[in-house]
Amino acid sequence: MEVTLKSQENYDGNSIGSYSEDDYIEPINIELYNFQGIPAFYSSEFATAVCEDKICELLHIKLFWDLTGNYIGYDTLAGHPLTKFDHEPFEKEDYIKLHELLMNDGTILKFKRKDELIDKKILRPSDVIDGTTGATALEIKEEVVKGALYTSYTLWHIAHKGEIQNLLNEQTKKSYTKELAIEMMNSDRDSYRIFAVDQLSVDELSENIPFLIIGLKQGNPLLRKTILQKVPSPLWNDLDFQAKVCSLYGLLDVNSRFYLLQSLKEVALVYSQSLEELSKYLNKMSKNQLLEYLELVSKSGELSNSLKTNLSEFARSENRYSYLVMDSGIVED
Amino acid sequence: MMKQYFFAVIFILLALSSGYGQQNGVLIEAESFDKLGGWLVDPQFVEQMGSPYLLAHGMGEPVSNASTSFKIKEKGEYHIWVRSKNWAPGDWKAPGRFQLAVNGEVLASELGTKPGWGWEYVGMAELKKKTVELALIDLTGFDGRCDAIYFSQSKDDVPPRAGKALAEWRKSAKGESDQPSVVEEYDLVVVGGGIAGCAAAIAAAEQGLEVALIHDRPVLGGNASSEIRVHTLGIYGNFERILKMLDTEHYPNGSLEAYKDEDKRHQNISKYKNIALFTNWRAYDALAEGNTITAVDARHTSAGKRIRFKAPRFVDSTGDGWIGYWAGAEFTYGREAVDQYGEAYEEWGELWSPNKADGFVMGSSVLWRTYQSDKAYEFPSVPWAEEVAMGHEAKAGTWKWELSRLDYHQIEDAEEIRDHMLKAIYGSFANQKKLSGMEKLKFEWISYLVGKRESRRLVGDYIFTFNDVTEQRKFPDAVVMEEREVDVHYQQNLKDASKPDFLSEAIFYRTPMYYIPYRSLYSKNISNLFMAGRNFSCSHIGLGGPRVMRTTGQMGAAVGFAAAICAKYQCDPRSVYEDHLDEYLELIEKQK
Ligand SMILES: Cc1cc2nc3c(=O)[nH]c(=O)nc-3n(C[C@H](O)[C@H](O)[C@H](O)COP(=O)(O)OP(=O)(O)OC[C@H]3O[C@@H](n4cnc5c(N)ncnc54)[C@H](O)[C@@H]3O)c2cc1C
Repeated sequence: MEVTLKSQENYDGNSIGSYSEDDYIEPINIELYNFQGIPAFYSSEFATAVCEDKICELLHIKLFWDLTGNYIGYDTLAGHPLTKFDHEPFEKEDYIKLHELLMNDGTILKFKRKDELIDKKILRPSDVIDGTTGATALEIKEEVVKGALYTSYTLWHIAHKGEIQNLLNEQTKKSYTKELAIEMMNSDRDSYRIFAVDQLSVDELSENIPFLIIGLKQGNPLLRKTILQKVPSPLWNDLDFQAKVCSLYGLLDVNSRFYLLQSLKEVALVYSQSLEELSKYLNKMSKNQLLEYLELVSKSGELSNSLKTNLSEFARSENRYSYLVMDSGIVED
Repeated sequence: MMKQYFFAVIFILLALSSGYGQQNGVLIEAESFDKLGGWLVDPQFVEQMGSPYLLAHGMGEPVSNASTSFKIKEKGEYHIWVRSKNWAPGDWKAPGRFQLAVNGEVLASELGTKPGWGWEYVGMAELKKKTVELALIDLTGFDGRCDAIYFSQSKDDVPPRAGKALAEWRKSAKGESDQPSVVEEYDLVVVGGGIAGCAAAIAAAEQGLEVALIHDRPVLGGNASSEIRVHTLGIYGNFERILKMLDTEHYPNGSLEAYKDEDKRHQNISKYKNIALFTNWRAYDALAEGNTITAVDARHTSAGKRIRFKAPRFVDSTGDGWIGYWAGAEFTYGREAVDQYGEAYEEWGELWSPNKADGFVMGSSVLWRTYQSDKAYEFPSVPWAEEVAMGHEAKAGTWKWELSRLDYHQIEDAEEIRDHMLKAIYGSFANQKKLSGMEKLKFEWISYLVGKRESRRLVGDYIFTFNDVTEQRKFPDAVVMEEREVDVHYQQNLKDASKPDFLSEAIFYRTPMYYIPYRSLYSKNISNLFMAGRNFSCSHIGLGGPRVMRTTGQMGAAVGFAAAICAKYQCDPRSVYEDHLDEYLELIEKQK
């Protein structure tokens, strides 16, 4: 998922604004970098104070975010290698660890206030971290760069600052062009594709069916839900589209499967072709998916022969939920 | 000698009411066995599968036999069925297998092998004496389950599999009348003995009310009890004195320290002579006349006895909003659309609040712990667990072990959720055991109770939302206050489908003090129903902050005092807000 940042020479950067908080020593000025006129990523060079109690150190760094505000990388600035609290320079593995930490949006640092970083209950000098005498809570210790607890903490919270993320998303919306739309729709980054779906009008959705189908096939569950949620009724009523989406059932994750079945319940007409497509996956359905599906079937009037066959075969099979088909009364014994 | 039910006695009644052509059948409820051995009574899923049942929760080591005896009227040959379920069906041997012994003789059939709750035919036995001895023999230690055993002289006499038909049949089999014959009356009936329910009971009792506290577990505390072991978070607000009798230390979730706080809780509750404590009693219905609840019916979780509890007012602190649900109270479930109350958290988008309403809620957890024992031991292979664990390795469960899925309802599918988590736990543990240095790793504890975070939310005169937090709205009837951050969870696999489906992530929103009004603590349409706990009146995001147990405890206490005002003026909960607010707030103020 990393965006190539090999050479920034081909990119031109423009300042798009800044973000600041009371305890920042300078605002975080953000630049948008374009490649051949199309927005590519954001970055910011800044200095920040890394403090523990009353002792502060200055840290110079450059952070990069993608067009939807996700952290993607960092760089050191000439003359400012990263150091630990005891002034020892970062080793190679420390640089790698820092990037890993910054990529981790579920890190425990997220939940901690600064004053909770040191476990006050266990004061063990042997566990010296960042030059303090308190032990870092064990859980935290495993995730941060050794000897650079406060650096890790400070940078993670800037890299994942919601306000910055919103600022970047707003800017991407402002800079959104047809070309960028195409780039984002073709991206393998789910957050880009979600962004692109959000920008599509009802008409545009219907004009970009291949994009929607690929998103449903390959996207993460969040992208799939974003797509299914946005499909307008006229498009659902399109036989080809409806049956195509149903034929993807086997590729979908549990949540998207259920969401699809629920979406179909709101569609004016579920075609028998769609029901047949779905019936190929009876074996993959969870109990409630199957119940939801059987409800769709029971509402659909006359059943086609092949659907009847699929259902009867399933009802007689060893599947753990085959009894539900029997219970539904849709097929006869 | 345990209770038993003869069909013959009620034969005529039966022929009239349900039409099941019964022979001389005898139904034995497993949960009423004389001796449980290592089996546990599990009453969590009564509404879905019909009854409390016995569970062989041995964490992989077979539990000791449960046994009982009963009398038959007629000696002879009997057909035997057991109501059970294969909880992890697939291409492997069912994990929860057990056998039945009759008069000391083990019947060959292995039970617990059919998917879905239903009757498995065990075989025939020749009963030569009128007293019959039964034993359940666990074969695996992996959560085999037995709901009931049925003896009949006719092979065609198979009881109905599930649902209404089974419920009717069971009622006939036991010769149960429509309503409990024992009736008790109180000033206030509190259902659900989590921190919220306990606080409500204490507050009301301190004001002189006669209170019944009905709780379906042997111990109080709900998620904070030694059975689930979550520590209490949040502040005391106006109710420090009461909540200190009930809360916990900040122990790691899952810790044995939960026992100490539980002792404290029980000792404190027992000091109130006007709290009648009904532990191991589960409410199963609420009777309403118009929009007023007249009684709550409850059943003992193992003995099966029933009591009708009458009172002018009731508190629903069941977490799942059961009393409101049965009485016809308005409720909500799931996530509102972001625009319904304007609850966006911009950078978190859909993960926080969806564009269209959906059925996600915060999920349920099953906590567990391991330890390094002093000798190496081999854990049985658990092929049925791997479909969920999918290679995941772990030594313990944290709050992140959480399950919410669009196709799981946190109440209706709670058993499947619990079982899914059991697969996650056994599978992840088995994978961990394969690592070097893990030979001595052993389970210390796996809860068999589903720890829930969110399900039904009963609707009050006011619906508390995220905006009340962000705007720190100061209500004239603010009775609960909190400053803990709002945290709302989502499943990790929504962003990354390769993540196991049983792990969640939290989104945090830090906040200064915010307040909850009294108007979200009583039902909008049921005139004499209070609610306290996670089923109070709020939106999905609104619940994100105050679902923690000191906050829900504050709700309980607030409701208990309101009930006292109601008793004084013979009025309903709404009138406390409309006509007696000053007096009520003064009473609360005095508690500090
Ligand atoms: C894994 C996990 C971690 C959490 N972490 C924290 C934390 O760190 N701190 C914190 O404060 N909160 C935490 N929470 C949230 C909190 O525990 C829940 O929101 C809790 O349910 C709120 O308490 P309650 O009193 O409303 O409900 P509960 O604690 O669920 O109590 C309700 C009780 O009512 C009983 N009951 C239900 N139906 C009936 C019936 N029909 N008849 C009789 N009795 C009935 C139930 O058995 C239950 O014990 C966590 C939750 C989970 C699952």
